[in-house]
Amino acid sequence: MTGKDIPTGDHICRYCKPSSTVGGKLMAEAFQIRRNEDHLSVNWIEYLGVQDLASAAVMVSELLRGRGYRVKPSGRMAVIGVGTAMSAALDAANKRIRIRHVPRPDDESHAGIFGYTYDDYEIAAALAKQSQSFRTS
Amino acid sequence: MERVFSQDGQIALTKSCKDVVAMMEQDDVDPRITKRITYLDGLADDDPDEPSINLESLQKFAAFIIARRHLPYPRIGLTHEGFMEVAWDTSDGDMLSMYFLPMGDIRFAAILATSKSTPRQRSLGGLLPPDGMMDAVRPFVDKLIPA
Repeated sequence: MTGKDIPTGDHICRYCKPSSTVGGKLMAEAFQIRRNEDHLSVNWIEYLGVQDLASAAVMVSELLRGRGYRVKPSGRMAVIGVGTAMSAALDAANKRIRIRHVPRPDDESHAGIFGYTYDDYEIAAALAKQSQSFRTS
Repeated sequence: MERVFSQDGQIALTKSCKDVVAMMEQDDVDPRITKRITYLDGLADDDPDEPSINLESLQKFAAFIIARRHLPYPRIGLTHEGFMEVAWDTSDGDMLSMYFLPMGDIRFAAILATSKSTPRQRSLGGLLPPDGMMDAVRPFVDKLIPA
């Protein structure tokens, strides 16, 4: 696990494909970790210097498009507070997740949610339930 | 020799997502469900990042829905492995989420809403066959609201 913990008062976001959103609502899949990975990739919103969450969602969408991701208008950007996410995971599965800044050369705001696994479906569902969903454009 | 198949048996004989949808339509399943499945089936054609529907998972989902028509219309999606995932909210603000594994079990999670008397969000989850899962989440089922 690398990087510094992101402050609990800050927010993270993650792009959710059309198959994992319905009418603007997020499915648990939006926060499901892959079997062979130790973290879920997200972006640190406050690192971008944008206070408005909806604007940040659009900014991150553009950033991801620039990295070659197919960010669709019919997809959604999930946004959750760091402290809210940590509480949700603790309550749902008694696990302490960590949300850490893990900058990449092509994405300085990249971060990761660490501390849960593919088998922690309750955590994925709890994170989806607590998240807000914003348009990508 | 005439062979007679159960409904689950007929579903298991389907060879494609379109076949499953056709069977659901013949059985008068809520057309919103078949429309959503068709939409999900088409996503992978346009976008290689989207998963293809796992046929066995879809078959299990179809059998589940056909046998439980009293359930309100759910939110329907796909996991990254192509498994059918559904979710409902309840009138109390809880959320019930599940996905259908190809071999028949259902992975589920019920996330209870917080309240003044229960400020911490609690959960119930597991991996069970359909009937066992429905027994486990019975307190939620009566409060499910349509998507």
